[in-house]
Amino acid sequence: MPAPAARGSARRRWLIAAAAGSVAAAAALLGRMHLPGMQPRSPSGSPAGSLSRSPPAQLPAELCVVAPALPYDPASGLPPHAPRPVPADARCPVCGMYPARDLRWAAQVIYADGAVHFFDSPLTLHQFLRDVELYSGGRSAADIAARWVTDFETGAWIDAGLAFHVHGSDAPGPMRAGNLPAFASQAAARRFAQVHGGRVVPAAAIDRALLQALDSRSRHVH
Amino acid sequence: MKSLCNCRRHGGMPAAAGGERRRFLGSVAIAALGALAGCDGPGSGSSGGSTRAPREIEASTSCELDGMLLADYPGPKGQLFYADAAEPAFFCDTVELLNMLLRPEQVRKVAAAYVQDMGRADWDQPRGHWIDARAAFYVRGSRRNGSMGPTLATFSGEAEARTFAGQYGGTVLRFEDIKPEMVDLSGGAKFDQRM
Repeated sequence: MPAPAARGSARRRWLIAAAAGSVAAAAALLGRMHLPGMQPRSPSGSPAGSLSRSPPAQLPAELCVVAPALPYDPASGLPPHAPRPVPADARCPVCGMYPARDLRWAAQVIYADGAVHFFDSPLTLHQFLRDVELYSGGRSAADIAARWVTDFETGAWIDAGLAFHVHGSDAPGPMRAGNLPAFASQAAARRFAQVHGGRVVPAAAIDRALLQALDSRSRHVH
Repeated sequence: MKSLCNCRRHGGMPAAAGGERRRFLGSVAIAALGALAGCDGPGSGSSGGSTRAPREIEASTSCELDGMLLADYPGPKGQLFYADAAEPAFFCDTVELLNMLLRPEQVRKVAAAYVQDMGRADWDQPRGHWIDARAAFYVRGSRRNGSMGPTLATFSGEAEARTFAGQYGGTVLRFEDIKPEMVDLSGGAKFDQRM
């Protein structure tokens, strides 16, 4: 586990910088999270990674914080849209979790330009896919070139669109509130469900109602 | 507060659509100023002090254990001040805070530990109402879920804890009654090994 003090001090620096009036600098200090849409009511927000260094004239009352997509690294030797290892400090853009801490559940979305978002689980991946612009800081579903989930049985990356999930099993998932473990074949998913309960759901059958049933977030609306 | 955020959550998208704005949002600028003022304000321990006043949850406040953003999830949260750190470690769930506090191998000295009084805080979006974790009453085994599923609901008074248990089930415990095995987080790991 990373030293707890590291993240605590990051938060403190961020707060201090925000108080000093430089929200942009604060965002930079927040590590893997950033603040899109620096200008209030800007239609599409700032493109990822293009945060202004100059402080805004007036601090907006509220800002959205999302984990930025991580750019493609040609030095990795991997094709741009191939699944890649999960960095220890990557954050899920839906819930904030560190996907690297529970790799059997990890998922990733790779954009046309090779940038990647990592997810802690198939559940947050599908929550993301339902509303890409909401979570991605300006990217759209059309930008997505590949989606990968981890085969719960083998640990291999599999095409998220072809996966078979089990809904309602006793596997709590990273958020311990129910999830959608993924399998490469219907037979594998069935074998899992026989032991751990639940029913098999092909990726294409994951709908809004199912995601809502699994959503553990507060239902509040501002 | 009038929202200046361009996200849809603040655009008032209906919850029924299921597309409630879920990004990590928050009152960064203004609330951060308040939080920062609180850092050095009266009643807050300066560095080296023996007592630490509780901080508030911000948009970017992340769980020490798993990174989850506290602001979007329901149920009582926790924060813990280590004696050797000026800032608290936040936990998205009381089970995680207690696990950290009660684990046998815990060697870092804890200066203060807080949970939230759910007799006063809003379950879905608890803010403030921080109380001493060691003096709190806990309800274990209720039907109400926290950020991480089944949780221990926390209360300042025994009467409120009993009222909650009457409504949602569960057993009322004092801090001293909570055993490490009650807040074991290794269930997921055990599950994985069984596969």
